[in-house]
Amino acid sequence: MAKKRHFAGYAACWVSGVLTLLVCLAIIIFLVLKGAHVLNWRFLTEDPRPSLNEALTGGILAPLIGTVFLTTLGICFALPWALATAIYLAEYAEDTPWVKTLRTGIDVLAGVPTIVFAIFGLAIFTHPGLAFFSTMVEGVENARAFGRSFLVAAFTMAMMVLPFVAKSIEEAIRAVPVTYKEAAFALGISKWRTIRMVILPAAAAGIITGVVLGIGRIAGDTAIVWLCLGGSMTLTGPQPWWEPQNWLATLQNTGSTLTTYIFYSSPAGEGNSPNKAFGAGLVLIVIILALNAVVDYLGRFTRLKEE
Amino acid sequence: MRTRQRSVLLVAAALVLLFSQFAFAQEAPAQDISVLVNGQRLSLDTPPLLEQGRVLVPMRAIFEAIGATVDWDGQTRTVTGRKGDVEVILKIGDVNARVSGRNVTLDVAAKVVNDRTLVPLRFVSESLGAAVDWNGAAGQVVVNTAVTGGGELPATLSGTLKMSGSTSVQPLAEELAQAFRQKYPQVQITITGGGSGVGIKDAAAGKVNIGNASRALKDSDPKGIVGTTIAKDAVVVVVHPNNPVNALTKQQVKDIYTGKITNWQAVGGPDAPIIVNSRTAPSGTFDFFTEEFLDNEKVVATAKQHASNGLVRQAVAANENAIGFISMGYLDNTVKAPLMDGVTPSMENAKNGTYHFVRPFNMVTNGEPTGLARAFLEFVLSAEGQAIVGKEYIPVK
Amino acid sequence: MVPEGSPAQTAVAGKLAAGKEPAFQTVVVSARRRSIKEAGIEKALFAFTILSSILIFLIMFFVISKAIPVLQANGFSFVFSGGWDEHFVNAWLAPAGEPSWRFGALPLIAGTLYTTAGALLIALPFGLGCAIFLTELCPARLRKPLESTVRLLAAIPSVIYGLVGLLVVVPLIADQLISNELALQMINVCALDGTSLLAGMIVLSMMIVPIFIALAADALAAVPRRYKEASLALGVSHWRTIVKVMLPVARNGILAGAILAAGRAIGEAIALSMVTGSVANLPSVRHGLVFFLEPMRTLASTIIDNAEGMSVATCEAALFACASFLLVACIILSLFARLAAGGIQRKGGAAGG
Repeated sequence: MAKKRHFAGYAACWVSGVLTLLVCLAIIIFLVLKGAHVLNWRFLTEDPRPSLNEALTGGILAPLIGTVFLTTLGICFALPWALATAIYLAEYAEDTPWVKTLRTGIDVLAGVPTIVFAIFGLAIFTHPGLAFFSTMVEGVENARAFGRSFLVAAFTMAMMVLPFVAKSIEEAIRAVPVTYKEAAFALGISKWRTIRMVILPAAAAGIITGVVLGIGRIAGDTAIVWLCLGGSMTLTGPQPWWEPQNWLATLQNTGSTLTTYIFYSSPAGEGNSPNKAFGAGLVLIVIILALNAVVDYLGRFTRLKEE
Repeated sequence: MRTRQRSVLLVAAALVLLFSQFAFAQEAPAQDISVLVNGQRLSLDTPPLLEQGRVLVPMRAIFEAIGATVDWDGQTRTVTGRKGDVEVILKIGDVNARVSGRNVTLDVAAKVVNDRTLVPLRFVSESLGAAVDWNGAAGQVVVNTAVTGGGELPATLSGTLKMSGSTSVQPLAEELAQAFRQKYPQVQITITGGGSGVGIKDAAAGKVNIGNASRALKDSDPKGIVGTTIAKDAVVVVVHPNNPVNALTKQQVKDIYTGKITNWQAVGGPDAPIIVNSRTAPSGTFDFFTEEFLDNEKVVATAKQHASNGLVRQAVAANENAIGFISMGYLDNTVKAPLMDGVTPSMENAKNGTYHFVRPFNMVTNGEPTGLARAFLEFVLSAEGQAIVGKEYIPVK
Repeated sequence: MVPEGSPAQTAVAGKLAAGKEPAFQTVVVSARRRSIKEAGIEKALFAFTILSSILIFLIMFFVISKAIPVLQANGFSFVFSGGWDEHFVNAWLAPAGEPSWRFGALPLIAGTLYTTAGALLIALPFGLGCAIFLTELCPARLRKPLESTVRLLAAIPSVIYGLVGLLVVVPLIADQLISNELALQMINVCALDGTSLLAGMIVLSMMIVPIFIALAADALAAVPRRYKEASLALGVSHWRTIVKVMLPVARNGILAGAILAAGRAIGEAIALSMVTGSVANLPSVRHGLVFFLEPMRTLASTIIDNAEGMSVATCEAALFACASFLLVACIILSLFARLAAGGIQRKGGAAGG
């Protein structure tokens, strides 16, 4: 009887595991079937061009660059903030009602739908006082800030991923065996130094996982990019963007990411080039696969170092 | 002598009758004609009149829409309109008019119909510095007061231009912006989406220089905005390619969308339910559709409300019983556009006015456009800009 | 607890030796300065934490203050009456002088609950099974690819899930489950064309399952190995160890995963607006199993679908009312989760002691 139950349990777990694998494979095969034929060197190295004729719509260079910009910036904003929060909550916070409220606030933030962040970010950053993040609208009465730029989108993204990254870092810190800490304290090491020299390195794998989780969420989000980065397909800052004097202005202007490109080109948007949407989807998945590979490699590296 | 007189009288009477008949035929109220002034439909208590190829509209409505003041002298039966330092004087029944003291001869005189004074639209508008587009039977006269497209473009320009709004206008706006940037490399143009409503609101709030709208402006839109109609776009009703129905009338479409017809049998199709696909209320396409196809009646509650042209086309392509409406640019072989009132919905027919379900694309500014925004709009309405519009949409010139 | 010279202690000692700790004599001298520095660091960290925490209140204030006019105008009927689509069109078309404040969001609220509950019903058993498989059962060679797969699934943008749903799931439902007769019979209630509650549930469950798996697997992996080893050493079978020892210990993390998954399900907008039919129809249980085939729309997809309406004050307020309901739902969810997690922690603590 018990054996039978065990068998059913094992079977159910096996089925779920294999099914997940299959669903994922099915999605990837579907994307490959639909999108592989648009993939070529020109698709990757041309900027998108506006046209209702799919043959004339160009490639995905600008969205690719935009994805790199936005994930990098978003993580740069989010990581120090999340790290500080996680360290405080894991190591300093006591179990007072006040701290509980703080925790609750952060937990609740994790559940806020991205569309709400998007509306919030857009409304906040159009304030003229925050014009540094985007640019002022020129030649208009009662001008406001444009409220849409890489900086705005990255900051809004940072707010969105903050609780996830912070939570996963906090968990990683808590997972560090208490013996490490005890040992350090026993040797008379100060608390901050213990955190810096012992706990954070030991939690490195978890922190990297948190960062990758954040990168994944930023790279995969559509709503915030659509509203806070604007729906423009190409980089609208001064060209050429790679010259240092144009860097800041590029980030203060708008662009696109792979997700907004996919959204815009798919039937959900008005771009009318569904095959290119699938092609871009495929590219995005390859990027995510590469990211995962990097994390696996890093994870193995940290483990090796510890052993 | 007497008989001769009589016969002359008779002939004269016959001639008068004949001519009046002719004249009557010519001045039949053209219910189909709508007038867009600065992107907003002119609300008229008396329908515009089509006479000898000229459109006549109630004087107060047109003068006020253009931003002119108007005076009516009942004794001399004279209309005087003023805008800035331009003064236009028209007399009822007289083809001689005066513009700032200069004598002008009109093709058609101002007249009184149903106690309303009607004035020639093109003469009045152009005298007061507005641009008028009227291509025959297309049923829509476009009047732009702020930008005419005839202005000189400066040799060099610089600065930044921000636009947001309708996703339908966006591809066209991007194309125009690219051409403009080629002309003026120092100019940066940012165009984002959001929808017609967002564009209008952003423009009114000073968040952008230009807001894009794929619909006529309404009374409920913020005050103080000025639209410039830059293009027109046809809207077509589509069904699944396997659907045997090859022709529909406007009445049938209306009955389907208001829920009076729910089975394809009623319009010559199979015994199958009609799956009605519509757009969400704020979409410019939906706005146009309810006005022109449904005469402002409500769409049946069971209709699917899609957020984009692409989704409507996808829904129709995926279901043999579906019906939907999309912008003509999105028409492809995954769906079929039945004849509408006997007319093939094609770009050709839309351009020559045979197919008249067309809507305006407006670029909205807060007040009259100035600076870079003005230069951009002048470019869009210039021959070069309109040639770009003509590639996939209907130009206004 | 830890035997002398354990690997852990050696590692720590090694790390400390590598650092440049001041010589022992100077420690006392610099103690005061160090304690000031320590306090400063703590304050800085605390400030960041406050900032993180205060964000939610800012967002709440912003969203709810924008929603208040509509909530005031409708009172409870906002929650208990339907007709959203008609109201929205009315509000949109209303002349500027006489705005229409009447809104009823019952179908949207119910729709959100249905899709979320349905997706959780599908995703939780599968996800838990998959997490156990991943951490305990699967051959070592399969584990890495599976973990990557799960991470990949979690990172696929929702618009792609929407596309897959639209092009695969919806036609499948239309072909397999909806007959012409059924569609004809229902035509005056709602249009059955495959876009449906069921399609929404399936697509949504595909979207939330990877998040849940990742977190549940983390929670299971975090169960101290000695618990498992002790149980196995006592002769308890592997399966019983999983069910009786590991799952209870990891319950905290699993619950957190479920809540994050639910949060994502409630807030998902784009994919659902593509596959659920986009009409504010309230699926009725009275129609039997057709319930699952009826089209509907959630709060979040309403915001995305009707975002163009934001230029009209009434419509904007109504959409913010939807957003505030989403927010409140998320907050309630999180509070319940904290309550539950607190209970488990206490229990777990007692058992552990």
